[in-house]
Amino acid sequence: MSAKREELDIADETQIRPYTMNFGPQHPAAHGVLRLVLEMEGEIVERADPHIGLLHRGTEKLIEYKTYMQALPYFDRLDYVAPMNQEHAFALATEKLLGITVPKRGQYIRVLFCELGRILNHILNITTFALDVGAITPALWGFEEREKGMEFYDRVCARACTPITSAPAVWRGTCRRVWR
Amino acid sequence: MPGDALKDLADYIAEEMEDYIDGVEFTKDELVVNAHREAIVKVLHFLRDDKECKCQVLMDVAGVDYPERKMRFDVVYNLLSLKQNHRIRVKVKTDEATPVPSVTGIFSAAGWFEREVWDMYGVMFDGHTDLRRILTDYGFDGHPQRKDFPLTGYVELRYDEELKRVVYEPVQLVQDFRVFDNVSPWEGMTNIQLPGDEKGTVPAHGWQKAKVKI
Repeated sequence: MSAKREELDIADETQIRPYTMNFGPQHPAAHGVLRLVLEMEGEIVERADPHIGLLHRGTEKLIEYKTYMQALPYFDRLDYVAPMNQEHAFALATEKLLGITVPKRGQYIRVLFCELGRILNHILNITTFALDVGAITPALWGFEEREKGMEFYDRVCARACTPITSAPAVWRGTCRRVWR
Repeated sequence: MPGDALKDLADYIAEEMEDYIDGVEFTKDELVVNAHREAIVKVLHFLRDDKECKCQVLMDVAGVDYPERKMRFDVVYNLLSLKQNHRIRVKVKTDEATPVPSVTGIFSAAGWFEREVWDMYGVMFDGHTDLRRILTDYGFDGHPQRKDFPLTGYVELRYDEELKRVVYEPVQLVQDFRVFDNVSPWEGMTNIQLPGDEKGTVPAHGWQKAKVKI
């Protein structure tokens, strides 16, 4: 840090004392609720203490009191831009525990939708990151492309955000109409 | 069935770590190493650095609560080797009073994971430099993922208009916890037999006659 201070040519009497700053839990520059306790050296963050529990909902505890099928919707909410991927992970774990093998067709459909979810997720991630650093256009263009992918989600489960489709041992969506 | 490579690895680990583990086993084709609690650092160090194991990634540290057991908690370490393409799970047993040696010295990722296990289960980690709660509220009391911790918790929050701040109060439930096991779509909602109810169990007092034609 001392090298940086020399570069900036700060005189001795204006030496900046390190101080602690609070960021969040609500902040327009943060997506969602996150609190950071930051130790600052001027404008440079020396140390950060993230308080990450503000979005913690105790999913594990909640599903202790549910059947496997009832537990499924909780997994949509873990990642609402790629919900089927989360469901898939849960479905695979449940099937492994129960010793169930899913038919080939179901496996293919699940993987296809996982890939679709992954692409949608990346488009959202990258374009909103561009938004954070000041570029507005990528988000507009990216969301139009996302909308095309969401169409598939919509057709397969009649809604886009919480499909509840890739249930253990079952594919509950309708797939015939998607492949027109 | 687990692959031959994983079986060989299991035998290799069992032989090399003989004095530090209770044994190796396969659950659902996944390799599980039951380590001695006091030797966990040694075991994980071996699994990280040995050229056959090469598990450089600590994916997760989790707790499990078995209230009926004397050593009621399991601490589970999930390891991944990108080089050898295998996963190994290491388990140790502990209870509320016995600390587990921290593995932050060999896996820096363990820092937050161990904080989480401490927060959720109250398992102590010896040698962890910053063992604070991580997910629960400021001033939270108890360890919520223990099996004897109630689902609803003990306190609830409310904004008090007079005090102009959020206040904590003992939890008050306006409705009983409802369990739907989905044996029948209507179970627990009515004692009148509805279409689709045939597969459900008949209530002890028998079905009531519906007043209107269903």
